[in-house]
Amino acid sequence: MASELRVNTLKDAAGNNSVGMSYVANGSAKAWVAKLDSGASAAASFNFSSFTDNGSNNTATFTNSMTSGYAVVCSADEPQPSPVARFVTVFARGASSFGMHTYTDTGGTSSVPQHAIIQGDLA
Amino acid sequence: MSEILVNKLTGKTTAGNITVTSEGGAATQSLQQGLAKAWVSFNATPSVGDSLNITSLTDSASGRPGANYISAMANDDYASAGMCGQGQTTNPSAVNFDGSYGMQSTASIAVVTSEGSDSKRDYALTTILVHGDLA
Repeated sequence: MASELRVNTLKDAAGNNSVGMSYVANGSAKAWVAKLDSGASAAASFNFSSFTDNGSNNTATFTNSMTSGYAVVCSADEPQPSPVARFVTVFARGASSFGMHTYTDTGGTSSVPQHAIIQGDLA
Repeated sequence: MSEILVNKLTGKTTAGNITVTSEGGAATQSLQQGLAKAWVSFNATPSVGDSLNITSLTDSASGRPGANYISAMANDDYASAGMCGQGQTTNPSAVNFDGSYGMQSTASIAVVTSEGSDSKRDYALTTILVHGDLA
């Protein structure tokens, strides 16, 4: 049987650096994905069951669903050998999945790898 | 009110895996996987405003700052996201990474801060967040 600890507050041994369990739970990222490429292949991820290549964008599907209103922070890799700015937008944000689309500065679609970090509440 | 005074938490079955229950109570997840492994905010100098697990910043060129980790990452396959800004400007700004081209390593991360016109520049505020596995 797994051991379980029920506690409201964690502190260091000196009684400093106090953090409530609500901050531990609410402050932890609920999912992240690294280097999600245009073929919907990720280098590493946490709490994602699959990624789907939609042609011009990707859909990321959670293993454990989120509640509504979660935050997605995302960025894209710099394209090489011509390094220019890339902008990632999030769309179709739902409890079980969301989409990411990367654009060039002129509105064209870019296929550079994407990164995303998700904060919010698990269902 | 329950309270634990402790300096180190270690998983019982697996040292690097402590499970926490979700806010909704329907799921559990790894505490370690959810924790940010590094974050930093810095200005155009670049000079650190505040940080976690960052020992120093680098400045290889205009719009190309970087950060060195105190504790190394396990590999270079980690998620990094960031934002940059310069007050109220008319041009969109973007933080991009060199994650797929060898510039995101276990020891450091390279950043590119750009305006929408693709010109590289240093911003008054740049923030970076890193999630993944520590070594």
